[in-house]
Amino acid sequence: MLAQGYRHRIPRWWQLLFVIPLLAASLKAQAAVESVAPLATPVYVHSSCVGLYSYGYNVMPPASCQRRSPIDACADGWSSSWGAPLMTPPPSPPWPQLSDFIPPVLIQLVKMTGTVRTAYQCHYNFYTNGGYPYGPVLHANSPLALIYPIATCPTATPAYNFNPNSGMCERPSTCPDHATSSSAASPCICDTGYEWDASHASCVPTCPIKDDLPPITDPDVQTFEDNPNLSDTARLDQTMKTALQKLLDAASAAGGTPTVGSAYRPPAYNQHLIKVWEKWMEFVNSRDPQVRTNPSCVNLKTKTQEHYRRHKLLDTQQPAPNSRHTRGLAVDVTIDLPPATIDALARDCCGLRRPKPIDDPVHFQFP
Amino acid sequence: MNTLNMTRWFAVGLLYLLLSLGNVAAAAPPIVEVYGTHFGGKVQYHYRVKNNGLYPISSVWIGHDTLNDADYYNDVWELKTDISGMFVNKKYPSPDYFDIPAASVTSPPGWEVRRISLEETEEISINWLMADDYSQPVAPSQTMGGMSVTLDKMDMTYITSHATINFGGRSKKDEITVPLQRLDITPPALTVTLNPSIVRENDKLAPITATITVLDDYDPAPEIKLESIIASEPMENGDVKEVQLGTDDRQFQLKAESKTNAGRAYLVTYSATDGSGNRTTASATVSVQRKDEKHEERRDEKNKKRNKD
Repeated sequence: MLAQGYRHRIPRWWQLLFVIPLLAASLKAQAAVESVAPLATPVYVHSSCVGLYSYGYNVMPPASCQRRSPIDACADGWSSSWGAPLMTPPPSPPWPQLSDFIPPVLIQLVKMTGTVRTAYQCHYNFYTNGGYPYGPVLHANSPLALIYPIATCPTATPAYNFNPNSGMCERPSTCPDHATSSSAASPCICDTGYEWDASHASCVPTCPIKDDLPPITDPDVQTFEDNPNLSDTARLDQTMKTALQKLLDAASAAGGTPTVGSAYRPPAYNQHLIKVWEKWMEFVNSRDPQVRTNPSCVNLKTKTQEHYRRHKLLDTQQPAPNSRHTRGLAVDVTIDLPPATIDALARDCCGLRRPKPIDDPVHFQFP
Repeated sequence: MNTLNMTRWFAVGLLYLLLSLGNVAAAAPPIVEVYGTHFGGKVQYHYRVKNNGLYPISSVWIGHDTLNDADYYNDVWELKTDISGMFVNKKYPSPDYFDIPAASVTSPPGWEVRRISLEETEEISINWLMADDYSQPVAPSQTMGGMSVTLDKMDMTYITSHATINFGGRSKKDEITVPLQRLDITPPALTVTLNPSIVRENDKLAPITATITVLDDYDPAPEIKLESIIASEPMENGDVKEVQLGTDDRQFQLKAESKTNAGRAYLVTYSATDGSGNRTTASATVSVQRKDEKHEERRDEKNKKRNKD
């Protein structure tokens, strides 16, 4: 009983608070036509004029090639000797009630010479940036002319199609999934986390991993970037430079063949290494179908992996943010001698030590 | 306005709000639980992750605290002790140099583990992640265990550190660092019995055997240590023999000697520590019965018998 009484009551104001947003949301999804003016006044071109327009406006077409109506354009092919053209009702909706882009509309001009009736047919076809035309329909025993409405619509996504009825470039204002438009006249914008696909027809999820490695602008860093094996011992701290030379001498004297790897690293280059490492780790840690299949993700992953490998970075070791290498106080040296011998040499010759003799056996620094 | 109507409309509104704000509700952080166990003289740490959010978890990184900011300069690498068997019989450089020994780690099906260190520092971290693109992540509301790592010795950083969680398919800014939650907070129950518990004074060393029972809610074999042996009167060198303090030594020798009228009592203390670091101690005594004491006891018994007669 209580519920029946309720059904016929006018909702109270606070009840509308809940309903209005729901109604607004449902209205938003309804289709509408979004239209903008063509970039240039559309012209309807008789087939004999198409070539001129195909090559653009560099060639000024004759006035006869410009018509505001397809019927007039059709009449371009009309012989002046035939007298004024008459138009028979076309078999499909007449201008300007053309309501569709397809099929081609047959416009028939009729010449009456006495009792002789001669038909002149134009197939009204659309040739816009919307993917038309459909092929002309040939009518046997009929003179044929094609009339092309040519209009340049603004480049947008989704694309505009020229509508000869309205003389406007139009597209449905209903945005694809994951896209919204603030108004019928505004373009669709993909929602956050989505971007247009290659055909600009739908919004696909963006790659969650951003291509945001800062560009290298420092020529010094670029030198290392171009040659990741660069061993810059010249800019080592003087004490380290001396110690390194002593270590190399001692290792050679002990029968080893030492080779110097990373020495001084510009701080900005070190930071670049960290960023490359972190970027690659994002891919390593993000096993997601989207990352696997999204083309932008796949491309970025390939690019990042190549970059990562070029710098010979290791998954198991992050470059240190405040590395001693950036102060010229550390050097990587590979020495093919027993570990105990290496440590003794480094200690005795020059006061160097390896903080991680097992984990990072090439890294030498002062205690 | 009746209550039924109000409730009905409120429910509609609430549903709408929840649908609108769904992403906000997704912010519940994951929980990473840990407990430790002993076996074969080693310590094993077990991790379990509960996904309380809306996005699948693709990586669990133990011992790496990002402080939940984007500044990697202040990241903290927390684990102090390396994995058991790491680098043993490995030659640098070799492709498997950084591989973790299979016996020292377990991973959930379809997941793998890496040991990650920071250049120039000794701390490490351990990262479990989906082995390939076709592995199953930890779906929302799911719990995943099966992650464990073995050390040669106990290291509380494996219990008290943090875990950084990655959500597959989400950007790095969505990763989150959470403190580990210790599952085992109860010390083991420990009882110690010494046999014999009374020895007659004879100035000789008496062999003592300790019988220990220990029970823990997570660790089937907590670590037992003989912590101390003290006496009620000053001891001399040699009063305690065949003993190794700080180890699980259950057999030792105590001198059956006393220098005071009260007699000597040895207090033997053991500790039990579970893999999560919860520690308890228990003690038992060995009393040295003095010769005089024995004689007096006999005399008292004779007197009692005489009085009866």
